[in-house]
Amino acid sequence: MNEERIVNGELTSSPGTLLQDMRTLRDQAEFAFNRLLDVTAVDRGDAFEVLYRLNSWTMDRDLVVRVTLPAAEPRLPSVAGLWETALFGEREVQDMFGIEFTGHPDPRPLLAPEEGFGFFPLRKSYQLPGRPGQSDGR
Amino acid sequence: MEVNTEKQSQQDLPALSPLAQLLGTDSVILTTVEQVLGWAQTHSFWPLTSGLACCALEMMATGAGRFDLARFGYEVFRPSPRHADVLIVAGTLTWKMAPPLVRLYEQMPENKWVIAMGSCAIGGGPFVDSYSVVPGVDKLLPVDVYIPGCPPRPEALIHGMLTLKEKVMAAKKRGGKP
Repeated sequence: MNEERIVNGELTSSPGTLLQDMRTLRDQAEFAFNRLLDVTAVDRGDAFEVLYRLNSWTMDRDLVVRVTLPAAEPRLPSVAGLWETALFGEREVQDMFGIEFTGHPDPRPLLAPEEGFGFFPLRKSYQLPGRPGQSDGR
Repeated sequence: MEVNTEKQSQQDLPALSPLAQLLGTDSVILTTVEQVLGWAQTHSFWPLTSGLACCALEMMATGAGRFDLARFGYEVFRPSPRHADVLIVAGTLTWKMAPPLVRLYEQMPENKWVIAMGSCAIGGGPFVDSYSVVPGVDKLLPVDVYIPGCPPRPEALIHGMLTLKEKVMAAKKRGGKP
């Protein structure tokens, strides 16, 4: 892990190296990203991107970590062991995009009902049901 | 002297209550136990404190001094479903919140009634085509009174409560279950 990998405040990682990269970003003194602000995702059709927003209190610095994973196998290791704020963020992404975070200590649905919605609302493939009586059917 | 004695004995009688003055001292009211119970119940609904969204603020205003739901005897908002007999669904019900709300309804003792307050509770409101909102609480609970509005004003909620009163009393008079 070195400074050159960070381009425009962004670092691209991969599912296999995510945990190792994240641990370095948190623990190495030159980075010291001690806070995870947000976990979110983007549906690119054939792939998902999961984005982590990190912040360093001591270095006064922000960083976005971007991980691309195939739509066929939406699975990532959980970073909840590094930052506890990931506990809720990862559960939200799990409900909305159907991305599984392996090793999450409490993977119950956060925003969806206990049994889940039965679909993933923020995926591009999801269509709203449309209003009763609406002619175009949405 | 005799006239004076009569006046004296009338003054010894206790003062008549306003009801007795209206009906006369030798009147009889014919009724049924059910109707008397219904009269008591419908003049002292105990609503559950069950706000879900902005409608809850109108519900709070209804209970507070300016609109004064206490005039009708409905001011005893209960924080426990075990003490309540009216569930006012005031606001947007999401699928996430639906199981707890149904559980609250099931925890309320009989007899119990449900008021759907506002567009969201009636039919999902502006969120009717959303993935997360129940399109009307009557999908899950037996609703007695629907109050339209977004949100309904406190007067509308009061009108809804009084409509519920009429509904319950009418059922008691018929002899059926409310």
